[in-house]
Amino acid sequence: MTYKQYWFSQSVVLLLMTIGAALAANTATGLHMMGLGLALVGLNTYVRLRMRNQLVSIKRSEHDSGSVSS
Amino acid sequence: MSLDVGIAFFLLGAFAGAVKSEIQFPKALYQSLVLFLMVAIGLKGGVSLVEHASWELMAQAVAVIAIGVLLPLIAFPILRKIGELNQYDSASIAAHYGSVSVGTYAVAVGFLEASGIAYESYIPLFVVLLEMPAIIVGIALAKRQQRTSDTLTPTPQKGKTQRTELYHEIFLNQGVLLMFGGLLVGFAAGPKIASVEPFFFDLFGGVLALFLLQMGMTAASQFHTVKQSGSFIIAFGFAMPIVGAVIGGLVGTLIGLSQGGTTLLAVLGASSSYIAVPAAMKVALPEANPSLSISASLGITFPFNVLIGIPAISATTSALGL
Repeated sequence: MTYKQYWFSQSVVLLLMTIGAALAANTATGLHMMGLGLALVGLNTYVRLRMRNQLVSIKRSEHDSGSVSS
Repeated sequence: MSLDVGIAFFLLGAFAGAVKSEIQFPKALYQSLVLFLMVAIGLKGGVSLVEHASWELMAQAVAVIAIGVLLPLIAFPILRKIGELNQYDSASIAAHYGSVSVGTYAVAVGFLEASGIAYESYIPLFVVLLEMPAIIVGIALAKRQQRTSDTLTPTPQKGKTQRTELYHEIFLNQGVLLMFGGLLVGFAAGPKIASVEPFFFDLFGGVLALFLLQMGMTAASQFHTVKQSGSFIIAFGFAMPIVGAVIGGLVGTLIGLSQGGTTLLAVLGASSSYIAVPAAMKVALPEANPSLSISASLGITFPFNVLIGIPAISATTSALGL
């Protein structure tokens, strides 16, 4: 995954979380449970993508510095 | 809390597909359901055209066609520059997202009718008009970026045959012919349409429910392909419907549609074709990988629109007082 793709994916995830939160907050629409689910899935995806990106960065810097990666 | 019947059937189908149940859904039945939905949508629109045909409608139609041109022009650079896909895959996926899904439209109509929200009955005309422009724009985008290719600049005889086949797919595909034909039949029949109303109009909800049962199973079968497509395609499958919905909603407001009409136009902007455009792209851009576009369209965008997009768009247009 390139940096552009990473930021694009994270932006979309943040947008989905915002939509989910908006739906969850507005109980009048009857979509609050679905919105809550969307927000939580979005949060989970955001965290996992971020962790994956950090792991890639660590491995890249280890490789660049010549250290042995486990 | 009550759940829309169509959405419930979709979820049932998705569950059945996920647990690999033995439901035998005949292909011919699915094709019959699609055929019925297309004809019924066209007929309803045609009947409405008898009352609403006017220059104002022509102006609205031009604005709607502009949506079909704009959406692939937005999608293509995202796919090329961020997704780093080749020009054929980018053009093909862009064409899918610039066109419309009759299935998604049918679900939106069912949702609005169940919610008691009125909409302009000539919207099916817009569905027909939005089928084609994105295909043409997609091909133009691929051709513009092409350096040398035997496929798009073939020998004269091969070119004539391929062009004929391509025009046939663009202008005479099943969706365009059935919906436009239904429009013409409805327009010509006028009040005499009452003789077929019990079949085409009263049974619409039930047929839609069965269609969504099959679509749920199909969407579930795409989950593995979706995972293999990578996070960019998955993100794109969620992002493009949101962009399309915003553009469709804005245009609907600008051309003076009601809340229901604006909702439907936003849903059309958010939808992605998986019937007419794949067939056209198979002829026009055989180099394109169909699994990318189908997995995004069917595996991500269609379920997203059915489960969240349509209710969210309707809630938004209602909240904004459009």
